[in-house]
Amino acid sequence: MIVLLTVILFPFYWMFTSSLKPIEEILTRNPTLVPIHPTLSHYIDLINPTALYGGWERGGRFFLIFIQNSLIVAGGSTVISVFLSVLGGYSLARFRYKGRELIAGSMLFVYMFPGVLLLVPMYELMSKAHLLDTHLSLIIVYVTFSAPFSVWLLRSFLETIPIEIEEAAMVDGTSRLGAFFRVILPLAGPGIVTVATFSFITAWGEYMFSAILMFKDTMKTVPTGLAMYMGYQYIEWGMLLTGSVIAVIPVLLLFLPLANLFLKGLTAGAVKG
Amino acid sequence: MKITSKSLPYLLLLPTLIWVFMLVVYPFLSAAQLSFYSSKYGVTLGEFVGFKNFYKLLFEDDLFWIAFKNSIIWTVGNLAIQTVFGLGGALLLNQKFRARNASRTLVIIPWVIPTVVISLIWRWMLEPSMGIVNAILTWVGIMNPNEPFLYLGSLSYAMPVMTIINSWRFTPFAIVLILAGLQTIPIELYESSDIDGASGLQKFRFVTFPLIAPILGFVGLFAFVWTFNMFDLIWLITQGGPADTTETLPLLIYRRGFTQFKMSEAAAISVIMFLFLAVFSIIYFRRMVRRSE
Repeated sequence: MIVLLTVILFPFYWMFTSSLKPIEEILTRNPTLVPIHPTLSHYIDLINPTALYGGWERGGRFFLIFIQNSLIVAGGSTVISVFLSVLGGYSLARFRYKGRELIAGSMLFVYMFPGVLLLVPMYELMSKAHLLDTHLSLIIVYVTFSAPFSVWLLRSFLETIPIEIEEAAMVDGTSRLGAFFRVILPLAGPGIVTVATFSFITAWGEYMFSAILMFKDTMKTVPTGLAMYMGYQYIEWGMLLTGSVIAVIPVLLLFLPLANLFLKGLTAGAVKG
Repeated sequence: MKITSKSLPYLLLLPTLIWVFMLVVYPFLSAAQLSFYSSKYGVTLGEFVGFKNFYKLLFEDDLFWIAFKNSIIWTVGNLAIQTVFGLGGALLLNQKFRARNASRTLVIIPWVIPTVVISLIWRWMLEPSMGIVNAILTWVGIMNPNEPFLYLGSLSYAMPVMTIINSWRFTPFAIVLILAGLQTIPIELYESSDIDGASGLQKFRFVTFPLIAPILGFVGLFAFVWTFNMFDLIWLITQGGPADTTETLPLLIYRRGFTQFKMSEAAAISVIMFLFLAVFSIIYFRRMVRRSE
């Protein structure tokens, strides 16, 4: 068990401690497990709006903007995904109608298409809609990635909620809509958390479409922003490591407290599926 | 227009369906259409060439088959490792011990991290002269620092190393899913097999495995397609090198379409890929259903 955890977590420990080392310690033949001269200089350089760091002053000034862009895009797509998947999941779970299984199956079938290929058509689509270089374009794309799976997940999850509870509420006088808001939504909490977490994480870490659809440096999201530091000749290790740590922190902060709920929702959903 | 209770379920699904159709199905179809033409950039169609692109790819293009082979090796390798370790890890976590919940949470962290960061960390750690992996090996005495082991730069080891990195990333997810399945097995089954005097291995073979086989099958198919189609991790770490040893089909699509501007070829490759996966899934699915009867 300990071995497993160590193997899994060591890279992150390493990344974190490396970001605290001065450049000489990073680029050495004898790396140390614990920094000898810990320093926050990389963090300061990265966030400082007026930082001049080698030739990458642009990077220094923009990193907070990358984070802001990612937050907007991931947040927006999460909200929409949750909304769509609650509706869709409820529909698939509670009603009986023709084509129900077919539609449910197609939610998973969607993931069979290679993402790479969608790059060009998506680019064309956004270009025609004059949405290139806007947050909306990425929000739209990311919803496309997370909504189908979210629908599937939420449907499985909702199926575990006994219908008697809703029926009891309706007997007591609420409409179907009322039952929905007062009974289903609260009970679906863990499922919604799962879906929201999944959508957010998917959007936060996505690289390809962000690289294709966003041009201005001020519009880049965190993954593409980080990639800016990875030239092929010279890699700005200090900034890069620091940027990575910063990139990871919001997700971890968001995820760790919710992880238990997330796991609960995922397992409930996955097993029934 | 009245919202009848009959149309309601469809209405609830409508936004999602429209979204998915417009942004996945339609683009794919239009890209597939490209494969029958000679488009270079994907913007204009070019002239109609029928099956010429497909013919060229299947019969005259060595790199296509190399990429196909690599894709299979990549996918099978990843699935093998992730299934074995996923199962093992899940069995481990299924037993009660302190810090179990915390472990489950920690174990899933690699999946949460953006691909760019993953590729960075690993490129960094596997750096022959500055990376921590070789440093540890030197310290332990296995490696001579003047002849460092190569990982991502090596012709024979790049693919295995990539497979390991990707497995590192997704095994935790597999563990969680398999664990969920394990926890649905009623404890009475284990208790009665204990009474019958079954050993640990027998319990696994006759109780555990048959009951989780359906989930394994289902997740396995999904994982197969997902891994087969994966692009960003491999591209960010090796770009298909060295010397095409990690060039998989998705990478080839990207290369042909976006760096060599042969968009129609790229489209043709993806049509072939899609057909392969579709046929594979159907056969796999049928077998699974047949087995469970």
